[in-house]
Amino acid sequence: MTGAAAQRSYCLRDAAQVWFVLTLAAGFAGWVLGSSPPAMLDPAAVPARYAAALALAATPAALLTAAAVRLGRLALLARAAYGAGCVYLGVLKAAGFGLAPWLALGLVPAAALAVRTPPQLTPLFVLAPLSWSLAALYFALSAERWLAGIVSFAAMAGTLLR
Amino acid sequence: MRLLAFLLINPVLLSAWWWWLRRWFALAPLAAAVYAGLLFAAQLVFSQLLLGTLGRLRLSWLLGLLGTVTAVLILWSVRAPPRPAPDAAPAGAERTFDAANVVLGALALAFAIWLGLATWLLPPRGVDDLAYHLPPLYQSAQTGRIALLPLELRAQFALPLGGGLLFLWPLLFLGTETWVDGVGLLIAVYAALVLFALARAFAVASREALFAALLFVLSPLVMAQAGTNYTDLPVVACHLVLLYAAVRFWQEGTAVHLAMAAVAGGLGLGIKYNMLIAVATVQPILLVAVWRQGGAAAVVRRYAPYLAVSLLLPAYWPIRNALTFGEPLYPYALGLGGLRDLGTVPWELVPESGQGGAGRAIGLLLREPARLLVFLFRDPGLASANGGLGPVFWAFGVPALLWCLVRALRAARAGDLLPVLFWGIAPVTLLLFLAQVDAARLPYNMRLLVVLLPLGLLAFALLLERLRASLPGAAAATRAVCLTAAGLAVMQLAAARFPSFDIGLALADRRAGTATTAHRYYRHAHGDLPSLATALEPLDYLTVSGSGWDVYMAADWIVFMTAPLFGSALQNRVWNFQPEPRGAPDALLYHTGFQGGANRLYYVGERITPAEVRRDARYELLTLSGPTELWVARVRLQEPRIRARLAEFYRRRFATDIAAAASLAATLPPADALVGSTNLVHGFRYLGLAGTLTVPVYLVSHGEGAAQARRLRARRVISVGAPLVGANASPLGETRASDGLVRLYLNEFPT
Repeated sequence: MTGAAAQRSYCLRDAAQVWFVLTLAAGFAGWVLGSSPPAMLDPAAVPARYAAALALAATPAALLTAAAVRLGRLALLARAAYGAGCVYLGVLKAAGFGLAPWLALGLVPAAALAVRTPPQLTPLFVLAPLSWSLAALYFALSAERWLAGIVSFAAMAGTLLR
Repeated sequence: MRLLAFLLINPVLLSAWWWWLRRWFALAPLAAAVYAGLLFAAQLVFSQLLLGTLGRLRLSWLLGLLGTVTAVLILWSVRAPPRPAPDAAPAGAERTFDAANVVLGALALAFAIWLGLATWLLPPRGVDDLAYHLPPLYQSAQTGRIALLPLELRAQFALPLGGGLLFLWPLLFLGTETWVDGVGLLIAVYAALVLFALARAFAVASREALFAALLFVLSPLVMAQAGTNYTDLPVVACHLVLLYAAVRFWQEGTAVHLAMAAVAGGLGLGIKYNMLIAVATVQPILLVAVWRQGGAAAVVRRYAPYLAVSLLLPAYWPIRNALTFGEPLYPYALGLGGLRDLGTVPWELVPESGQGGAGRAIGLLLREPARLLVFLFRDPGLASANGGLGPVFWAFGVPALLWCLVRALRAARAGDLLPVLFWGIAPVTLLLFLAQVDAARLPYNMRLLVVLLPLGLLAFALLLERLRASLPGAAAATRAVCLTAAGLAVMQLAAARFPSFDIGLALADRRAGTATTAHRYYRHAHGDLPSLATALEPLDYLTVSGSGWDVYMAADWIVFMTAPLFGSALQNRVWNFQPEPRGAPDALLYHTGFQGGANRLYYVGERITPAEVRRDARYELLTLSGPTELWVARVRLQEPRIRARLAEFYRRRFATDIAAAASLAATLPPADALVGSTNLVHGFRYLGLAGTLTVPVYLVSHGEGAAQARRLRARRVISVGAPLVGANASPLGETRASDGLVRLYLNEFPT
């Protein structure tokens, strides 16, 4: 494979992997937005679900855009197109069109392509955005309890220092 | 002095095993440390079990047995033939203690100090601990025999006590419950050591291995459970040792690892039934490893003995239960669908929020996966011993587990089966968990998933190492987030109420000289324990230095917690638990009115109602707080030692009320009795004990003042708080007491 062909292959695989990640993130976002409020959730936490969904969509997009700057124009364009499509699929899911479009047009082909990506890229392009998305989801859903912990700790420390 | 002896004897017992393993099996120091911890725990558990079965569970017998085994070990080690030293671990290019690990280590130390103070100052206070973990241990310590308490109160009394016996060891040695909760921290630290060793077995650099081990200790759930007697951490420790031994056996094929796997599995099975899943999921690793050594013959020669030891070690509990109840795993039965509850929980007495009936959680996964996902990512149980796997696990551990699974599948295609057998444990465990747990009970049972926490952190350590090699910036950023999460998790403990780690009031009491007993701080716990604390505090304070009382209890079933009745030095006996009580109870504790509960008293053994006690002139109401009443036999309260102790209790706890009562005492008219239901009555009682008030003082249940006057045949009665029904009442004055402005009345009953 020539250098140019290798570069093209690299960019295509990279784009496929980005597609996979964005599809996953958009699907999560759509899933969360489209779900009826879970009975196990405190009604007061419903706004947090929307925050979580936004974080899910925005965090990987931001991270990947930053990474894209390093990789050149072709990958960047691919990212934009695929990203827009995936967010669109997520919105479809949110609007109540079910999982089928997301699975058929997004996740399955993207996953199939992602499997063929060079393994050395996996930690950055799949795991890092996924991790940061999950971290955002986690804190969006449990922020009030973590804040309560900080407040309680400050109160106890105040008692001890008095 | 006893504490010092305890702190000295444990390292000796542990070191004997370490030395024996080093001398006879030429194990590296880390592997010897892992197995020495396991064998030390097994020695404690099975020594106590043996003595408890024989009715000889006394400290002298236990020390004799432990000392004999230790002496044999030492002599045996001395006679060991010389063996080649194991290969030294390759020196890493990176420092183990980099800045991130130093910060995490400092956080872990701060947590350990905090937990140590909480253990010293606060009583054992986990809800399940008070309800059914500790009472059988306390009863066993008192009677010297493994106890099976009345199952009509808690069917869980029939559960195995393998984990509980670890907590019983300091109790037997020190004769006090003070350090019972401290065992949890040691188990957490030990589990972290095993996680470190397991990571090293996977060739993770010591820096990342230590990072993962420290993150384990600093996970919210581990920290919360480290302050309790819950058995999930002992199960995690046994599971980790089992995994470690299985991996080492796969790698080296030596019998010592297979033997240690048998001990770890057997010890774990005697701790908690969910260890069945943990043990089952590890078997493929062991079976394949044995098979590779020689096919079916090796399975018979090596795996069969392993399995026999694994199953024999915990056999006492299923045999006892089978003989007693006809069901080995009572209160469960093992079937094709897993563990099935035999219907021993009176769900009608459980608050609606804690009831099940929503179907298995796996159904929720199939029907509404997003709902389950969102639920899990809310980290149910955070700030309690029920859950809280933490952001590091959910955000980094879970993706890392997925990554390891994908890599394991690739490795399996290349012929390396260990990764897929090892990492496959995580999804199988999760699915079995979801297939067992009722969806509505998930918030209470997330703690059972704690066995996945070290797996997630191990995967994360592998991923971190990979990231560090290829993307150092990403690795550094990820580690920074982990440090922040660990710091937040330590702070989060301050918000926990289940159990509480709030030591502010306890330290303030000590500074002010008003400390009484650790049982006062049940008021920090959740639910109805703060109300119960008003009775438990004087009960312990009055009895701790004597021969103890026989205490009767009746309460709402859900808060029928008998462990505190024993007292901090196990000086009291629970009257309800005695098959043939020696006489009438010395004290009776009633508690009803649990929010959302059945709101009615539940009786165990003989039924003695509050109405009967109120009519019984042998008893006197000592404390009253909303739904909680503590009645004590007058003959006990007349003992000089108890009178002095009670006066001191009033002085420390009701100083405001004593001052308020003293301001009125001189102006009180002659009367036959003084009755009331407020804290000011304690002030008057103190004056009576001090000899500065001659009128008899009676604390009475709300609305019982007139009835008490009739029982006393009193004509002139001073009432505190409200006039008495049926009397001609005239106001005497008012004062400000600890529970607000209180008025006094003189009540004159017609002849």
